[in-house]
Amino acid sequence: MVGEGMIAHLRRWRWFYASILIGGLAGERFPFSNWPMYSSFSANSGYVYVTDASGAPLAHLATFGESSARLKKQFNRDVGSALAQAAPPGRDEARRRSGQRLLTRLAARLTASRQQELGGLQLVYVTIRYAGGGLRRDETTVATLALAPPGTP
Amino acid sequence: MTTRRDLAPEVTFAWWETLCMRIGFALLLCHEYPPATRLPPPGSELPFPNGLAQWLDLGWGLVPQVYTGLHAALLAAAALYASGVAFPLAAPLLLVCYLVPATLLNSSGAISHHYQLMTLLLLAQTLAAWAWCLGRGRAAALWSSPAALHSWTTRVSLQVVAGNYVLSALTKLVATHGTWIWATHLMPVQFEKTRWQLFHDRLSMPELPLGAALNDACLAHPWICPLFFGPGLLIELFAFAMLFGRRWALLLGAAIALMHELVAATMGLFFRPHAAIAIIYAVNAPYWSARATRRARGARARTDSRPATAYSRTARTTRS
Repeated sequence: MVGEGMIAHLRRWRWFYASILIGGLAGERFPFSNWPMYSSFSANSGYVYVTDASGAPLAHLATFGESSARLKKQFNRDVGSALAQAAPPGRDEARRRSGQRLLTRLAARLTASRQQELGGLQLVYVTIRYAGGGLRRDETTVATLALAPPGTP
Repeated sequence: MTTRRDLAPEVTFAWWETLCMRIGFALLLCHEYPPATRLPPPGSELPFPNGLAQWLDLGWGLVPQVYTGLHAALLAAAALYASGVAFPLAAPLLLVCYLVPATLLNSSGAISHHYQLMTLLLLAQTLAAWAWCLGRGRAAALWSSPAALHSWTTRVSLQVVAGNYVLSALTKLVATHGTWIWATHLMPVQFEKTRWQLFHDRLSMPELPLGAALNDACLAHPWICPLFFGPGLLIELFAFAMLFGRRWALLLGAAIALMHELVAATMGLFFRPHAAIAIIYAVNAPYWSARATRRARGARARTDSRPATAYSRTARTTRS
């Protein structure tokens, strides 16, 4: 009786259980997801931002059509992929290369005149950690990309 | 006596309920369509192909004319979808219109969860509609799409929504070995990160007074975090209760929508499609509005047909 009831239940809720099973197995394969955002926490976190050649921060959405959260994910994914290679570079070098690749992709979204205006791009990584009963932010420029200087045709 | 079956009764949705849901979901799909400005430029490399892009080259989806065509097809399919006619054809068309640009957006190394639930619902509705029509020899229903088909795909949609919220809770519990609620005492770091990320989006600090107050309190008293964020995990974990019937769906749907609103107010993270889906399918306001109206009319009718009392006779006499 219990077995029959269970089978009837599984049949009636099959889309529910399939959603859990497929999402759990597929992981982050669009449109499936196991929804890992904010699933774990650590005592420090970080984000990236992009500046022009002079170090002035750029508004990510207006300049590149990308959000800061997406830029950080792209950067972290690239660094993770580099570090997972058979002969991985050092962490700083992996960050530099990944930052360079990200800046190159972002520069491709700018018009030639905008590139000239900015002169270059820099990627800054900010680490946030607990310190002295509050939170502390430490900034490191991980990559720079020179763009055509003003006046260059 | 309550049986195990009674705990999860199979709800039959009326044609007008599912019509309202289809209109709501179609409007949501049109409103949330990925804008062309968010997509990589045409010809860009996809450094981390995701989903369908792992097996198929979807680079053609970045061509502006293709995007325009997909957007136009989305609007036409959304109108057909809302009407309810030829549902098994409208749903997959919408699915393709969403799948291509959202897959391309997710193939740059950043997985965004904005489009997942909407696309998953379209996938589930497509599969459910075709299974319903072909599995029982109802090929004619492909065009006519009767109310029973819409009721069925609505039940499937609710199961998919509930399943994904439960999965989200399970992922949190697995990742933290069951300690997620306590681990939220580290949330202030995440809040600070999110606040600065939002700043760099537009170079203006987001106005999150509730979030700032909460964060200050959490920094001073870390035990507040589990109290505030813990209920969110419980709502996700018990989202399956929305399959227990209309009242449970209303309760869980409202709780999920409220949870997303609180996350938006405190952390500036907007999951509008998720909240909207909970309201459209689980809260199902048209049903409760119709029920309240019917009850009010019934009560009025009963009052009118009741024999006149000494008080009402006096009142009538006074008025006349």
